[in-house]
Amino acid sequence: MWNWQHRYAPYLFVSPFVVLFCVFMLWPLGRSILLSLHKTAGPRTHRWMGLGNYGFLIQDRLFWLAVLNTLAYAAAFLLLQIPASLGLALLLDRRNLRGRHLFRFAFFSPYLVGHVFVAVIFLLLLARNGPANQFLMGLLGTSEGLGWTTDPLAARLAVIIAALWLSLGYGMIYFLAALQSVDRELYDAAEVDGAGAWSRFWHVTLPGIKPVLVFLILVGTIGALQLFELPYVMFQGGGPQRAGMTVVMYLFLAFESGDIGYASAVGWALVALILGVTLAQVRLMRAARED
Amino acid sequence: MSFPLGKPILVMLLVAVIAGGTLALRAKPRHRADLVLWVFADAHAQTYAKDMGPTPSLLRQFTANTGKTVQLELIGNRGLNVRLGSLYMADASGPHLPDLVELEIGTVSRYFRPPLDEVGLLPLNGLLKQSGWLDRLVRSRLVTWSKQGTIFGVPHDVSPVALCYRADLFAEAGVDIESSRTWQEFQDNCLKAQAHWRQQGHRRRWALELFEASSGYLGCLLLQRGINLLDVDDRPQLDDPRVAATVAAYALMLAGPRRIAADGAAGDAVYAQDMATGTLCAWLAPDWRLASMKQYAPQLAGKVRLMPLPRFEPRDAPTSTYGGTMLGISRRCADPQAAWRLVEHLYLSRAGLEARQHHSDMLPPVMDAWDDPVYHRADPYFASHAPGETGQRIGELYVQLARQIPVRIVSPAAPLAEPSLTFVMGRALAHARRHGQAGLEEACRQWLADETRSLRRRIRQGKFE
Amino acid sequence: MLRRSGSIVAYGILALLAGLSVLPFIWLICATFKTPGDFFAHVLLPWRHLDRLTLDNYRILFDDQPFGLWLANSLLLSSAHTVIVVILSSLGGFALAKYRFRGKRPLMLVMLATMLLPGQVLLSGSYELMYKLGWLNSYAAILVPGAVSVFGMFLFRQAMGAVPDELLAAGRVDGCSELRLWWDVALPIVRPMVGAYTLLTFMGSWNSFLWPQIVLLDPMKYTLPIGLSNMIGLPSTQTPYGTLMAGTLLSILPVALLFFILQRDFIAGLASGAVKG
Repeated sequence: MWNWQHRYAPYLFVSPFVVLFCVFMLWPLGRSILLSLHKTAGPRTHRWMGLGNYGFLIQDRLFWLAVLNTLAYAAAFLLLQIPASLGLALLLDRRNLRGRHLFRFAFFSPYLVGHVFVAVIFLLLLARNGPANQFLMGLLGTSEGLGWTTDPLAARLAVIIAALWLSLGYGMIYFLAALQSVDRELYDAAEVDGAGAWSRFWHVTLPGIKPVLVFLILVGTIGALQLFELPYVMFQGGGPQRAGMTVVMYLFLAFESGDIGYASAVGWALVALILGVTLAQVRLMRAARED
Repeated sequence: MSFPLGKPILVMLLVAVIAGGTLALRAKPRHRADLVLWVFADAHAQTYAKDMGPTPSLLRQFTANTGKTVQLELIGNRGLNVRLGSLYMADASGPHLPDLVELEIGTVSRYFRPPLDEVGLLPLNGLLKQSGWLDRLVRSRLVTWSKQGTIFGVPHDVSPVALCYRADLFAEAGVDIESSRTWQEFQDNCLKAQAHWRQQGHRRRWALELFEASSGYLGCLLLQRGINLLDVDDRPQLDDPRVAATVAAYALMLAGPRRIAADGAAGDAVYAQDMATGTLCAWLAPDWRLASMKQYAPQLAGKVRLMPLPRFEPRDAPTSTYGGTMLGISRRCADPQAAWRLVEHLYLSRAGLEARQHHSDMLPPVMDAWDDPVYHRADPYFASHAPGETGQRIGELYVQLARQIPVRIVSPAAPLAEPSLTFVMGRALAHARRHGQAGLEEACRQWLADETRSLRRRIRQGKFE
Repeated sequence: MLRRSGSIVAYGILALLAGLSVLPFIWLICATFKTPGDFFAHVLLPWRHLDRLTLDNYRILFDDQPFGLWLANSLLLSSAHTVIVVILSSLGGFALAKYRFRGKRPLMLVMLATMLLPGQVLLSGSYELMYKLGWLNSYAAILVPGAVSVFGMFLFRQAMGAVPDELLAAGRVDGCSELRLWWDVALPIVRPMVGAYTLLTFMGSWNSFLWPQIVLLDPMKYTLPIGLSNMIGLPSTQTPYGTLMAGTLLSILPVALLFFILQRDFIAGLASGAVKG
């Protein structure tokens, strides 16, 4: 009897996913693809476009600006967030650190705020005469703070700072978990062999946390490529000289203009972007592993 | 035997049951009211739903008069538009659809995109004509809320724009700012005043508040010159040579050697600070801004005054219009007649106009109501130049301006055009900071031409012939 | 000696960074006690006029806004969602870890693919589907479509790898059904991961906003993020910032408390499963 059970149980166990996927994902996905091949103006007005939407997308300068911006943000963000949260985790991973509880909580707490309100809070903090500028003016004695929402460079910086603030703790937690699971004996062995701190890090720690590192890089990339809420709320739009224009913002604007067909096409372009970048990363990491 | 899923899940289950139980117990079976009204502004919600002393609220009055119940829902603007947009796009009907909805001018354009018979709002031309209101409302405001002649919303306001300034500070600087007839003169006067203030040690005092991050005020000034971003046929107007001139002038007010303006920061409470401390000494004042000025900067009473806008050229209007709200009825509303009566009661009736006066100084779009003495009294918050008067008669000024407001056209392509203008404005500002006036207007013309080209392409892409 | 000073440096850096990390929070807490007039005039608190601090923002929150209602809705939806997701995902992960069956490879590929999908692609289609099903404005629309998490399934697949096959085989010999094996054998072994994943899911669900906002139309069903974001009025000049900040702070408290108490187990749980191989 249990042989029969053993054979069919897995199908039963994954059936919730399969059913939900077919009902709640396949249909909307299909609709989305179909829509992307049309141009719409109202609930009943649509016209077949074939690949016309995609064609327009490819030659739209604004779209490529958004892609460039998004890639730049993602790169800057990842290059900062991954090492920084790893660094934090390393600092916090000592046995004898007092107040570890508090530190961990302090770093993780921004994540709890949720991205909707992080943007609102930063909007208020970075106002022209807001706390951030008041602090800077007091510190540097200047009569005007930085144009966080008016200068393209400062604006980009503001987005990155807000994004980092939001997610450093999240990465830190995962790295802490990863560090905990690295075999302590490996460290002792390395010390016995006379390895220095850096060598220990490179040869024991890094390989030990590699799965989590890969995971965070991939997940972080997918998330970073979808950046939207933060710049949109902070700049109430695309930002100074479109510094905050990301692909998802371009998508949002397409939705706002009422052409759901075109917006769906943009959505699929985003999928292609994510797929492309992720595949490239996987390939790079695989190549790195060969070394 | 311990629970295999662990204590946290057990706790979750418990919380779910308790929360669910509390909600189930509280929930009284609610029948949907006869009419559901969505609003986004707290001030409006107060005007409609709060009892004013002995007078019952407008909604209460309506129910008493007609026997129909009304449920008012206050939803944040972004959330309101996301929901309404989704409902209209799905061509939904049923209890979830609001019967009436207030929409703001900045977000209404998407509802005008579908062909006329698929717009989610009910055409109101017939109702307006039958009830006789069509000729009693400011015609240009009706045009704003229509598409190709079909009116979809009743205007809430006229929103004429005046210039509000710190009479005390300008007087102290010995500058008669109100004599400025043109923006050029205004800029010269402000520079004189600023020179004086700088001498007194006010390093951070600027004469005028203008936006740097958004093209809202720039659009307002363009409107003064009769230029909408897009005309009634959705054709971009950005390549009009006057636009380049205006952008350049605007940029030179905010940056460069003849700078007189600075960006106001987010939030009423904040620029009320700027106003009160004298960081900014003049600002554009559509009539709806007065209420929050009085609320957040009460210490300015008697120190400020209103004047018409200076012009660029004699043929420009001495005012513009900025902002605005409309009240519309959903096409698939179950009882349009009742909905229309509510519209009349809230927006056009005596009771409605009176209730509105409690919360703001805004002019209604009903022209015969402008003779009401409440719009002709002296307002002590504003300093008067006439001897023996306790305050400036701002109502009269706004009425005078209201008769001259330019027509604001709402186009579904607006979400595409506004960022273009903001973009050019940003570049103009950067140019002005670095090179001042040299080559600015020429550069603006170039940028605007580029933006217009790409705008045309995008509009054509989305158009249905 | 060197280690001691290294320790002090580490402490110093940590303290500085922690301070920066917590600073917006402190600003948030202070903001909840300031009057509208003081809100921007003083960065943190009006130090010379501490008597002006007020509890008004909280009072308005509870008087004028149905904060309790939002809280109840959030608690209900987040807990129910968490329980459902944990159960179904652990079941799926168990199947992926401990069984070989036809279609496993393609299934996992599909699962991976869905992880790459941005939510926006599904949004309007899902909304239409809800409307057609008549699920608009229902709790079902929130709980059913997301009832299984692919991320969760992968996590549990990793974690369940630690369940010894011999134990399962022994159970089968004893006549246990496969479901019993999951419940009685596998789950207790991966309990740390269950705990960690529970917290993770709860936190994610608590802050979820985009979908609930368009689906929940009845104010009686608003969750905390929806209710609070409603206060971000238009024009932005009329946002009651003090009250909004008060609401934001209160809505963070439950999850913050949860995390603070459970953080050690949370990290240990993640360590037990997510990080091997």
